[in-house]
Amino acid sequence: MDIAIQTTGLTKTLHGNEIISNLNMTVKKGEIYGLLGPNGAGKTTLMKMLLNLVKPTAGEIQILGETLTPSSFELLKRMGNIIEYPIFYEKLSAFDNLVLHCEYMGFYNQDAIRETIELVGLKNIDNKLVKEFSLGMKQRLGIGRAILTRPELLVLDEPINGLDPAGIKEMRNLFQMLTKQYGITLLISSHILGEIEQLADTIGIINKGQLIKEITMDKIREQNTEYIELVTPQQRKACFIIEELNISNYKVVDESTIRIYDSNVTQTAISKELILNDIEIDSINKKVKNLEEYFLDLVGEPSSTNIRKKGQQPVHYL
Amino acid sequence: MFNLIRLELKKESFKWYGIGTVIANLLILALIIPIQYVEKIETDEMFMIMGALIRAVFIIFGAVLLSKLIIDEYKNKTIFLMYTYPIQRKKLITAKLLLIGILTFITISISSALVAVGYFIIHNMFQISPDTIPAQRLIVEIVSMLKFAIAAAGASLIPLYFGLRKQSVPATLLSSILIVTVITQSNPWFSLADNIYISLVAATIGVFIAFWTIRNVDKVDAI
Repeated sequence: MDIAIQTTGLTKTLHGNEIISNLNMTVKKGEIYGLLGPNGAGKTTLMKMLLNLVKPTAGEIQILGETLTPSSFELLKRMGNIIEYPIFYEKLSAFDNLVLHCEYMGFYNQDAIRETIELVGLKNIDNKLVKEFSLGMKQRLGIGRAILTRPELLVLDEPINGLDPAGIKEMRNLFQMLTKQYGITLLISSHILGEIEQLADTIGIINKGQLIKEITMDKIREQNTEYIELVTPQQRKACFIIEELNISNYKVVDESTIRIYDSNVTQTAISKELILNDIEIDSINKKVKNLEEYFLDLVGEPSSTNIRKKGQQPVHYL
Repeated sequence: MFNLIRLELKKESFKWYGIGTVIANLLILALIIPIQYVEKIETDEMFMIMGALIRAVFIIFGAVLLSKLIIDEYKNKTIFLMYTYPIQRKKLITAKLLLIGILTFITISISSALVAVGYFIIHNMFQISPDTIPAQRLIVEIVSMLKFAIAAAGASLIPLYFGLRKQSVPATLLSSILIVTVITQSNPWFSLADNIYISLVAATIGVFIAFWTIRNVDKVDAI
């Protein structure tokens, strides 16, 4: 399979700190690659390095078959990007900003601008200055600008920051359309794990400047075991009943929660037995370990479904 | 390169520069005539004062251009956007500096000619001093002011060094005012304002700073 981005032994040291250390990443052509990592893990720096804004201290970057050198610039024509937050010439209108972008990219197709503005769901904004835009609108315009010239590779840093739920869904569809219809490769970073879960083909987890895991979503889904989670105020008594059902593979998570990993017993059988023994059940349901738990396990933070990452919607399993 | 300069003009509005130039020239003219009337200065010196004032004003205007076109792009981070375009960084910065240098030179030249002609007409009409200025003299003075205009265009780039170090607009403007006070200072004993060599030294420093900035721009991380 063709490779879009490959880094080998990529390292960046700044003021004596290693921000990126010995990072080897492979992004295949035509896939959506989700880059995950806690704040300050080095995601943005990595993306800046791919765009040649930050020069590596050591290691090599290959993009679309070409090796990046400190003075490469031709390659940038084949890439679109949003870094950190979308930056515009605020005193100009959205349309003028896009015209300017086309001129600098050496892309001459005025129809594409209107088409793109519609594609990202911005309407009647032609003469409005970017200064007056909300963050969500700027984000949409930023995505529009990145995809305007239909580049082969998109590097998007937190592209769904500031978007409303409807906007997030629209952008998800847009990204999927771009990969399917145009074969564009996407490298996306986000805090919103649920979003990446739905979108990405492969994820890379980065922590303290190191890529600690690179894995396809299919594999994660395969690996993650199902279990039954039982919430009851009478946890001790419930454990006793469970033992009686000949289940030994279970875990008491906290004072009211029990996780049962045994796959031979059905949920119905357990609840029936519990009810027969007069045990109150607050909830009982089947769960698959999701990306969030997988991520937190790897990054080494306490894994709990109650912990919400910054900006994330609460997760409900009912 | 021409195309890049054209795009720079598109990004930023230059209306203030045009209006500012007209106002500055009128004020200079309005200022120098009473000076001569009150101080009884010879016309020779008047042309020097005129030239120095014009250069002072437009070197500071040049610093404002530097702030808007370069320092602000760094501060607003739009320069990162520029650097992700398939254009050599050197060319981007060169285009900006060329635009500033050329604009400063042209404005100083035209302003010098206009103010000198304006002064010439008013002086001869109202006989502000006992001397008369022949038309030939006017041309000689204007040509001499053009030489200084070239030097001033170079000197107008010096504030870039101070501005870029901290990416600060105040530093850019302040350094330009300092430069102006040095190269246009004049007193009865020793005067730098009518010394073309001092101006040329300043111009050389400015051009050197411009080259140094252009040369470094590829090496620096844009963080």
